[in-house]
Amino acid sequence: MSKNPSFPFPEEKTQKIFSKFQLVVENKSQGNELVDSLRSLLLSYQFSKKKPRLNKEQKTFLINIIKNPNSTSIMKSLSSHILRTTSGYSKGNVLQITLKKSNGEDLESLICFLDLWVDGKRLEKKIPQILSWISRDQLLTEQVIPFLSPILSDHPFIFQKKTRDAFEKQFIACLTRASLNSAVITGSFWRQASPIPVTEFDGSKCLDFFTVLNCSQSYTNDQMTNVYTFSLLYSWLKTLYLDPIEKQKQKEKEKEEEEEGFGNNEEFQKEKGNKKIIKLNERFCEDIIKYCLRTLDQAVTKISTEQSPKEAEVIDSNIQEIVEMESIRILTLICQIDPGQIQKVTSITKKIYERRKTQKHSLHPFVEIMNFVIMNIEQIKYDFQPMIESIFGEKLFDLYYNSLECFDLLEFVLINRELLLENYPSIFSKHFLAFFRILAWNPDEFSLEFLELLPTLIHPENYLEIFHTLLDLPILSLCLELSLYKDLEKNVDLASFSEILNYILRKESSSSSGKGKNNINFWDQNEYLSVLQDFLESNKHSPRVISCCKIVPILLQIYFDVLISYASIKEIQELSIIMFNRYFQLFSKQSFLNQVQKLILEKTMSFFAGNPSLIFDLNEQFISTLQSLSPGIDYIGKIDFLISITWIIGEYANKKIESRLSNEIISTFFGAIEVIAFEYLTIVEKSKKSKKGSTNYSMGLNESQFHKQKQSQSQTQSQSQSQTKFQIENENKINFENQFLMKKFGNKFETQSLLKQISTEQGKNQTRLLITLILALTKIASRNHSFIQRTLVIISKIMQHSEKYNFLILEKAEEAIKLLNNPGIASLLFDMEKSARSQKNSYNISDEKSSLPFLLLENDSQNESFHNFFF
Amino acid sequence: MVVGFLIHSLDETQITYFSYFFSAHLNDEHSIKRQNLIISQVYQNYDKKLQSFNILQTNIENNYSKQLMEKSVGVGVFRVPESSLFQKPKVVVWKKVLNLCYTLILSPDENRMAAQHFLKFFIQLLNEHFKNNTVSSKPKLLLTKPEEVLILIEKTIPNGNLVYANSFVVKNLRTEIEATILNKKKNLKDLEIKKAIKK
Repeated sequence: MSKNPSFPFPEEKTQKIFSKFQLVVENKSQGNELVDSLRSLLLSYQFSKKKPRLNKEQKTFLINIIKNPNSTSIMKSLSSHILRTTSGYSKGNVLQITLKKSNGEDLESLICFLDLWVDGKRLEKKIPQILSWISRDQLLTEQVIPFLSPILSDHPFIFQKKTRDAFEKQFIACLTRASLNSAVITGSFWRQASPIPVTEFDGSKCLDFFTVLNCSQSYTNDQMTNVYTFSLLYSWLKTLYLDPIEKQKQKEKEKEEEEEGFGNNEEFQKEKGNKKIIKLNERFCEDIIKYCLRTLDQAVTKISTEQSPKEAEVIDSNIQEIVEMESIRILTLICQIDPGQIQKVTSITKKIYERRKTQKHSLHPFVEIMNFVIMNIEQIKYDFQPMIESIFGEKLFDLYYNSLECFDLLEFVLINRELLLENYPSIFSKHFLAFFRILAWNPDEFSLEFLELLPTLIHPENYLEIFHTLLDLPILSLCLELSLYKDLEKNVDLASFSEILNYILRKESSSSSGKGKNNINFWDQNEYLSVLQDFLESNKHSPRVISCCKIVPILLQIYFDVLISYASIKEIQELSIIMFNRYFQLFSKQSFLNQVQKLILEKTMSFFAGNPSLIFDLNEQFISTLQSLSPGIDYIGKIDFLISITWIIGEYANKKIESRLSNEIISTFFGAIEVIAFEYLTIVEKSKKSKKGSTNYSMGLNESQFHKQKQSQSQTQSQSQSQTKFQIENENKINFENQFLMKKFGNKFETQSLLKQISTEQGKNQTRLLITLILALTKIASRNHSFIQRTLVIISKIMQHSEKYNFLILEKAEEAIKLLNNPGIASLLFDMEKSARSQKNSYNISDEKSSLPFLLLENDSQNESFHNFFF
Repeated sequence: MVVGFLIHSLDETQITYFSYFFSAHLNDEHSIKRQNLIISQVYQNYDKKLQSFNILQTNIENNYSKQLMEKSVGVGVFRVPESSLFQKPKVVVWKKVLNLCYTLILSPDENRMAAQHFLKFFIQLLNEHFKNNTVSSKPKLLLTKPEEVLILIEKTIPNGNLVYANSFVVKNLRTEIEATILNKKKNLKDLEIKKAIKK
């Protein structure tokens, strides 16, 4: 909402402007009065929140201004702009009627007709008239050609073969026959200035026909028409030739009958029905190629400093590059429309690349050259691999801050990804880090592009490295900022960190450079870890880094979906181990940490659902993690982690599911869970002894009880020597939270309410954990009856202190006792054969050494989802 | 093709000083919503770039890097996906100069480098025309003569066509714009005289 009192216009002001305009209409005012009124009207459309509609009389008045030869250009411009601004509201009815009455016979009416976007059908009828006029009047041609762009965009069906041919005949003249002299500038009344010849950029006389890269001291109408025609060429060729061809191909491919835009025209339908490929007029095609070749030659002409002063020199060198790029774009289109031209254009493209590769140029022309190569890859014999290497391996790497160049490249890659994957897979396997640099620097601008691009980047050789890169994206962003802002060699602070920095900013993928796909996690290297943590903590996170944190979970979701759908068992196993390791090795922003950890757990569960044999592959990690966890668990991070592991062990520690599981492993699993359960129950028991008579610490009480207990715990902290580490940590946490929240909210009531919420959450988490522990022990015991007694001992401890536990816990405990007292039934429930479980774990990638991305690999289970959680 | 051109502020106020849509279907009842959506996205992108730059600029030791970064903060590009407001996807290219931002809405296959080129010479012509190199710092100047801004747009980007203008074409356009505006003034005077004679 605007804070400026002038914007938007108050309603009264708008009404006043409209009343004044109505008076002008009624009085048919002219001169300054009319211009003032039109100016106010224009501003009111710009700044009024609610835009008043023009009535029929007002619109007719404005149209008459445009058509009146005595009206000034200012009046005409203002009137047509106002009418255009309101055209969407009027739906053209009044315009149609008024214009119909005028028959559109005069020049002013015709221009008005074009200017006001009269509907396509009516415009189509005027085309012969337009053509006859532009064939004999250069001034009109100059005015009409720019109108063709919006007409092409909105009404392409107007340009049927006959019309196309007629216009193209005109274009040929415009492109190749423009004057080679500047317009004659009328000098003093007694002397007529002599015409000045058109020149090249180096100041020499024009070498051939006139193009956009020639210099004219004063442009004639036909020279301006030449410039406008060149501007129109790409959209003309694309809309009228390539799009129908593409549509036809698509139609044939998908057997779709309906097409947009061209559907209503009879001739077009006929053309389509006959499956005719629209051929480009030979002469037109030749002249376009001739024109483009000439501009490509002119693009390297040295700019004369005498002819162009310094400021102009910048514009001219810029336009040389832009025209070069546009000419390659047009030639690429020509080759798509007429493949007979490919060989000719290939040699030109090759020359341009050879010429440009050593110079420091922007990426744009290279993108266009690549586009030409990839569009005609089957016919081109020249090896463009070095160009691909140079662009993705070098140029792109240092241009990540240039959003326009990166955007062009990303669009090119996205549009042509299938062809690129088939012909230049190294772009994605070897140079994918360059893409991540672009994302890390422009996370807000290019998030949409990356959501589309990511599946293309993942392939069997780099999927682990991509996983690490995704998780470390905020760190990459931070490092890119630092690498640009600071001189690393001179900076002492960063000296110790330079090794990690060099690794994060590496150019080539570690997996492709032979370092192996597993040796890519710098978090595992203890000597750098503290430096890394200091570095992350000591640097303020910019909005760029925060944006990276926001996009990572979304990209991770896509990453996992690709892996779940296409990866082999072996790859899932490898990834699961890495996921497990990276769970606590993450960028330390809390919201990022929470989201990523949650996602990792979700996906771990999904992987196990599809591939229960992971229980063996991950058994060492699981056991060591369980053994290292103390009962003082922070409810924010580790409880979910512990619950997931415990649940997975309970569910999948079954020899019938995974035959490699030995009795020893299962026994170690049981022992580790048993210890955790005992520690928890001991906490409860101890807390009861130390606070006899009070309803102190327990699990899963109702909200108010739990909150009160936390408060009293805090008061009696000094008296209780037997408190466990868990209690101390909880109290410290609550005190800290209390102080933090009081600071933040001030209001005691709000703070208490927030604390209550946190405590409730804690209670719920602990209830979940204890239930999972009971279930896991019961499941293992039901499969191995030697554990039944040990499980019953633990559960009976819960029942002994039933007043301390949530009814859900007690319910589960009772169920477990009943089941374990009937081992046969327990076995029936929890000791299932592998065949009884999901059969959807059929990973099968035929060629595991392939360098193709997952999406392109033949996969028997391609249409079959990995598990039924997501699809 | 250029489908829209916006001149607007790039602060919290997000005022549109001038908007021009070259495509008929974009001038419907949602045009304001459409332009506000674009401006708000430009503002968000710019604001984040600027904040990131401000946080670390005190540490910049390398002047070349500093210049590069400063340049990259004031320009941008993004894709607008197909939606109820935009029936076809669009690409937005923007450039900030002082207090004003110049934003082009393009069809996806338009030459974006030419769009960037247009923005440069348009801003140059605008400054020259208003005889004030800091017109971008005083955007209200534009509101005093909106019809002249209109002429500038119509001449430099006729019907949404990006003109491949070298320095001579730019010079020619400059002369043409000035002549058109001067003639308008002259014509206006003539009309006033004719009116007076009639009376």
